[in-house]
Amino acid sequence: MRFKTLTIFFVAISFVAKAQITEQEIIIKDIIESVAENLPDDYDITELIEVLTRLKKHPINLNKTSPEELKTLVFLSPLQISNFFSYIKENGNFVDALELQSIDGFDINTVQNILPFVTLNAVTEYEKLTFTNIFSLGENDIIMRYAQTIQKQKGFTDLPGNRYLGSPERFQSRYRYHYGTIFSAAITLEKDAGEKFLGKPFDFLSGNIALFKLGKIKKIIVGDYTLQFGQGLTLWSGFSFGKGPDVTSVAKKDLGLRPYTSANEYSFLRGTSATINILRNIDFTPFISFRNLDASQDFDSDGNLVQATINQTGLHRTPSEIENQKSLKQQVFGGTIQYNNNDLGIGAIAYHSRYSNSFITQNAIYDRFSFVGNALTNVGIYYNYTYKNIYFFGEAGKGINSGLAYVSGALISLSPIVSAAVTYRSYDKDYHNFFNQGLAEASEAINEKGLYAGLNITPNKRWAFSIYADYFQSSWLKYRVDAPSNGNEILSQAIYTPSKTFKILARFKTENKQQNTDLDVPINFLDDVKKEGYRIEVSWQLNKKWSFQNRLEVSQYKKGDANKELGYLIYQDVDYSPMFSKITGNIRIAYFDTPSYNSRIYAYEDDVLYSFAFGMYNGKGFRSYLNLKYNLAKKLNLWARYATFIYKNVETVGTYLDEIQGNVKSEVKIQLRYQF
Amino acid sequence: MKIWYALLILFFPNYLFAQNNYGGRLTAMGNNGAAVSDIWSLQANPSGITALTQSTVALNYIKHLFSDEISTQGLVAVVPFKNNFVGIGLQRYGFSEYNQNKINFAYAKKFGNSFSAAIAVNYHQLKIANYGSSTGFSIDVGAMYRLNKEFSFGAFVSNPSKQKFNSSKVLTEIPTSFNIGASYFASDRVLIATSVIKILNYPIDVSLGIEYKIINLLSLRGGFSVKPFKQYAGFGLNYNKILLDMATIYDANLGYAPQITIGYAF
Repeated sequence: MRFKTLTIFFVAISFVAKAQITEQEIIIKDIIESVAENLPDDYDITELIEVLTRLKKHPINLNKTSPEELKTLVFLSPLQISNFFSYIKENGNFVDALELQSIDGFDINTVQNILPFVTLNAVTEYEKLTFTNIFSLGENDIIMRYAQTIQKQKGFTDLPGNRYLGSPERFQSRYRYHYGTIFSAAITLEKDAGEKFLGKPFDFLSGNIALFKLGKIKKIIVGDYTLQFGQGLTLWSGFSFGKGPDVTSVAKKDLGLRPYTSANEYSFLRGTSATINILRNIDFTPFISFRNLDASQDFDSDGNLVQATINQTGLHRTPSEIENQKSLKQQVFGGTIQYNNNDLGIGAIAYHSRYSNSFITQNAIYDRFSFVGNALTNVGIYYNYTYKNIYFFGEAGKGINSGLAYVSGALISLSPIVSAAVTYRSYDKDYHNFFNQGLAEASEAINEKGLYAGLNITPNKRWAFSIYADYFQSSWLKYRVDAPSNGNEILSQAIYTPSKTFKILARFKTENKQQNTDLDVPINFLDDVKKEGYRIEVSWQLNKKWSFQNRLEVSQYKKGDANKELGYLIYQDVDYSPMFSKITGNIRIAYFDTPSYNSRIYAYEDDVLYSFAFGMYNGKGFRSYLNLKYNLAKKLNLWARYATFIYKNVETVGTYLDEIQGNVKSEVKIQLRYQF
Repeated sequence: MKIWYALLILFFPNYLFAQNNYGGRLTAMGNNGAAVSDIWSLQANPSGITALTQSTVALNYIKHLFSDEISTQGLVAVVPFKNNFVGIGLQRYGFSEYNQNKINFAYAKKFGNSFSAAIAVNYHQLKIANYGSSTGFSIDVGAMYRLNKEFSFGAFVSNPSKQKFNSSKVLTEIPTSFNIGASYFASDRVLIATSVIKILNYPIDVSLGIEYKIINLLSLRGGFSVKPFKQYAGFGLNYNKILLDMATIYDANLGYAPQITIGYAF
């Protein structure tokens, strides 16, 4: 019996190991492109990639895992996670990782995605934390990155008035320390292009120390951290998913307290927090945070400094940006209490935030209901409940003395091959919250009602379909929308994978919204704005060394009675990654032609490790990049990237201070990683 | 107040009535009548009635929520004779001063187990108080093909010969539409259906719907159509020989249109 078990172990391990080598880089890209669709370029989802990369190295032990651990696998839906644990409860421990296939709601794609990140062999857990162990058994990871735009941007020339005071290089250094799963530390340093080395070596400095599994104290973090609870309406910082080709992504997976490791300069808390197990199944997470935020301020009639909004870009390049830097003190404290058993989770959140200067409303009418004052108390409750093949979830959040927001939905595994998601949301126009990342069409989860419904259909190994439709309406005005408005969005996607080395994807997306007319009229009326995108993508592997991807994407834009605009992007990717080779790399050659910014197209671009971007293709011209990775030594890796845009028929590239004379914009990037 | 209804009807004559009344089940699935079998197929793809095994009768009532007075009422009955099926449908739409009525007779035949075809003859009547009335004829033709246990395909055309009301003063048209669709039984509890609809002089519409039989007694349904964007939802109860279906359409401009359908299979 033991021999049999062992053999299965080895077979399973070799399966996992093999999958790791051949699909290593591709799989993360695939996962990210399937869950996140057209994110803006400044989104930093480093954390996500970091978690996946780390799990590749230290796979999850299926027989010793927790819901929280599985939630870090972005492609698993909460219903699948819940089904996973009911399966273990009924059938006992896993003997073979491929057993995952027999869990309700685990289609073949999910199993293929999960295999590289899981294992069945016991992971050595360093239970004792001693001073010598910290040095001898810990893992250290240092990354240094340098990037620069080669052409000179206008902001770096000798302009009178507003210009970039710093140098055009970008630097990022990251240090990570891990001691098993019980201790970690992180430091991130960053300087953006145009920022000065002002007295200290870097413009942005972030770090933390985190301890896990200390008896009753499940986690404790000092430094920068994020909090993610419920459906993101009341308290959510850091990255969050919205609507995507994987329709189950609308049900958020809250990870609670986490160390912050991303380089985004806004979306985190700074101070200390801990998750404490106070009773069986009941956890309490108190937190406190002090931060200095960027805000552009003015004096009110009484001579006090006031501001209307917080600047979230984290850029401190020009004199005015530097003046606004850290001008607003923010204090946040509160707590979350949550109850979790197998099928039911309930949580309650309450916190208070206080600002050194008051917020005032802006002049714009659409902004009339925004937050004013200098103190805000937020409360919220959330739940999730699994009944048979249905996962219910929801959250309600309220600002004291301001509006209410709630969201409620269900994921249903209709049959082994069909799963559905339904969500209804309703957010008041005066819902005030600085940590609100609820599911929404607009960038903020306010002033919106919507109904979302989607289906994932995986009839067999070769085919996968998904489709969703979302209807939304706003009862109040919005930016560039001078009346109550409504709209809808539909996405459908088909993937055909006849063999392990060939995949074809077709995607169609249409979005209909309303926006102020472009005509010069005394009172703006709303025009229908219609955006459509068609994508065909073919990925194929020639042999173990070479793989290729081709994509054609067509975008269409039509506003009111104006003529239809048609843009397209076509690219060829070539990837060279032979096993055991010191050097690997990939290249893209793309041609794009979009008549205006309205029909711009986004596409994922390969980059150096942990760097991540959806490139924006706008205008007419060529795009090309080359990524190379060279393994200098076993633990020392070097990346280099060269990327360029060559536009046709233009005199300048970019706008305002980023303007470049000529038609070329290119960038070099070098990254060094040392693990010890 | 009546003037508003009259105006509404003048502005949206085809919009309101361009599609037939598909009954609670097909409506809740996003008005997917091309490749789904139901007694109300009589008003959509009439060859869909060949799936019935007993004589069946059903009643339907739709309330249009933009007004309290405007409603649609429908009655359908189908009698099978081995491989031949005969059906009759009655439908009335409007309010006291304005009425559109339709009577249809359908004949459907099964050719083997996988193919069926049907023809339906419709008699239309339009009555406006103080203006008189007008009538018209139209024909629907449909066919359905069952590929295997999972997939079925269907197609039908309504009024292909572009018949009109006999009075030239009537602007309301008898819509001409071309429909193709597919349905997919993902399991014995899950039915997914889609259709592509082209009504002459309107953009092509695509719809998608799903029916999920939670338990034998209860089915949940939902769907949407693209042009114009509408959402549909409903549920059905099936107890012994009695069928009860509730459905609603939601349209951003017209609001909700809830409906109730009661059927009985002899």
